[in-house]
Amino acid sequence: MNAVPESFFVAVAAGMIRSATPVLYATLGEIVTERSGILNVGLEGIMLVGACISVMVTFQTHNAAIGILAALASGALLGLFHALMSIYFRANQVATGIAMTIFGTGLSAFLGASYVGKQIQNIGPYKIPVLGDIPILGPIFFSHDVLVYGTYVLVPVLAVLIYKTRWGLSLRAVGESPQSAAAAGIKVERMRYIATICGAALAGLGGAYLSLVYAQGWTENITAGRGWIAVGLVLFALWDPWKAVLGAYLFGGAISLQLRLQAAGSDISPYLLGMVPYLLVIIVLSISTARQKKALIGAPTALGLPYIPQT
Amino acid sequence: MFFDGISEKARPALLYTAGSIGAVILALILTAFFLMAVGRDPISIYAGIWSGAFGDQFSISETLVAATPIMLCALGVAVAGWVGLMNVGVEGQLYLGAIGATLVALNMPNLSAWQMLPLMFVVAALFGASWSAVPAILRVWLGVSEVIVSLLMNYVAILLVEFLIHGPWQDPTSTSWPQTAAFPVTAELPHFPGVRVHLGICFGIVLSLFFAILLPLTRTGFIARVIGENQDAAEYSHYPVWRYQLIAMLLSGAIAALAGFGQVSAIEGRLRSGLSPGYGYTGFLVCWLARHNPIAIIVVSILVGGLLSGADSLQLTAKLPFATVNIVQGMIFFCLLASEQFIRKLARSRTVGATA
Repeated sequence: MNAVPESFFVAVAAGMIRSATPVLYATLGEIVTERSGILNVGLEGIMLVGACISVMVTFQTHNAAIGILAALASGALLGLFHALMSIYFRANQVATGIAMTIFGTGLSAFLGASYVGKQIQNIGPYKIPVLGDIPILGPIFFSHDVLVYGTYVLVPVLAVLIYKTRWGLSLRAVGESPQSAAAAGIKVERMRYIATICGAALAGLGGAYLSLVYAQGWTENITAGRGWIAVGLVLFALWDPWKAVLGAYLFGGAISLQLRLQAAGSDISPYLLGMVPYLLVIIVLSISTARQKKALIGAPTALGLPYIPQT
Repeated sequence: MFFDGISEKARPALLYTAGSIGAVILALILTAFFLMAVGRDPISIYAGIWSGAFGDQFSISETLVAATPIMLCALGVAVAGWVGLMNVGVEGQLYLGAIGATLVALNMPNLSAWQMLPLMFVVAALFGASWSAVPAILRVWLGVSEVIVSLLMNYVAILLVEFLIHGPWQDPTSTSWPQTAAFPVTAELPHFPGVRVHLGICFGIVLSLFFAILLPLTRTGFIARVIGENQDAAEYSHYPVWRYQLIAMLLSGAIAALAGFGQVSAIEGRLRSGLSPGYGYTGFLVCWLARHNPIAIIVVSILVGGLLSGADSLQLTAKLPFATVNIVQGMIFFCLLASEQFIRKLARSRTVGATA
């Protein structure tokens, strides 16, 4: 291990956290959505719109916080739309997601065209006192920006919300067996609207992180498939927020390592290295699906199926 | 799995056609509101798209040029859809077809056109099938979602093209451009006289007609439709479900790859990046608008090809960003999916009325 200097390791690990953050937000959001039985594979489009809107609003207001709020709102709006399509119109949810991807790609490219390369107010890093001074762990985990810290809070909060609260129980019931949930007095459709809107808002936030912090600007197709990666990671994580962290950090680690290797002047083509994160997600998704089939742990039973109230 | 539900029971074809047309009209109205909101005049834009698409002989030929890859991609999506699978990876399979065709064109320049073009055709199809084999095998053997895997493979395919044109296949005479050397003339697919429309459109039409006969009239077509409509029932009847699904996915990738073959061979004359402005995704939409019907795919491809080439011609004259096309396509798709609910209701009330 002497060949790899400690600083390289720290840089890769810290980069892993940053690269993972946008995907992690989207994955966590999709976990909430899918737990309610709605499948939203349009995260790619929603993240793109969030990324674009946050840059536009931040540029106009010179305030990144308002930009982030705008991204959350745009995500929520698109989530409401997906929920309407899935719940009210009972449309095929996968096809709706693909439509959302095409739409979001177009809308963000259209609106963002005049913002390409514009300088924006960026969110600086904030080193957490005391924790940030711990050797190795400090620079890896506690010298980032508020949005990274947001994921540290969001993961345990979501885990508690899903597994330990009444609301979480209702959410899971709606996703597993909407008929029984309705019989128990839970408002199935309202639950699904809420879960889809919140989930999509988080995807919008992930997009905002990508443009405001990670890339510090807007470019067309900035997400480069991260929305689909997130959909894959939800399956890998078996709808569990903690395992989502693992999946997102694996992906982030692959991205970070690839960027550092390039910066260190590696001879391997950046295009070949760029394939690694996608292939990695395909591989871990396949392994976890195969294991899942054996262990009989499954998706929320009613996932992707329209709920038809008994009348 | 939860990624299914493509084909529905046979329902009145008329209602479906009306639904598709209604969805397109509604989407155009909604997009018009959007264009007005951003300060553009939708009527002049639509008029411009129409004349750019079907206004004169040149624009009609450009429409057919755009319709060619769309038709092949849509047909690829349809073949997978018939057995209940969603191939969202046609974009990547198109790129692999382009790579396969380029491999032959660059390395065997001495072949005659009669040897060159069939060989490019076959290698392109094999490359495309190899790409769709990944989601196919993972789906059939492990139950991994073919939607996500095929989609992620698109990004890998585009990176593979970038690698080749920045690396081993870069034109040695002009290292500043990421593209291969020009193909020999023998590697150019024949064009119709005087226009850019090429033989590729015949591949699309012939394949569509072939499937239009195969699907309703043969036992193979029957089994495919049973699998697509109800996989459990098909398994219960001991139909070879996984074999059909695997073969359909391979065929799907091979057909989409022909789109890439056509683009590098007849249009570009070399491999370069930006080969496709999303023909694969457009093909997906077209396949759904055509309700997976091969004959309808021919018609819808030409109409949507017109939208693309018409909007393309407005990029310069009216400074309309090409992204507008994606907004319109997304809108059409949304309206189409929402319309299904109304069709279901109408179809139900009609059957109720008939039995009463």
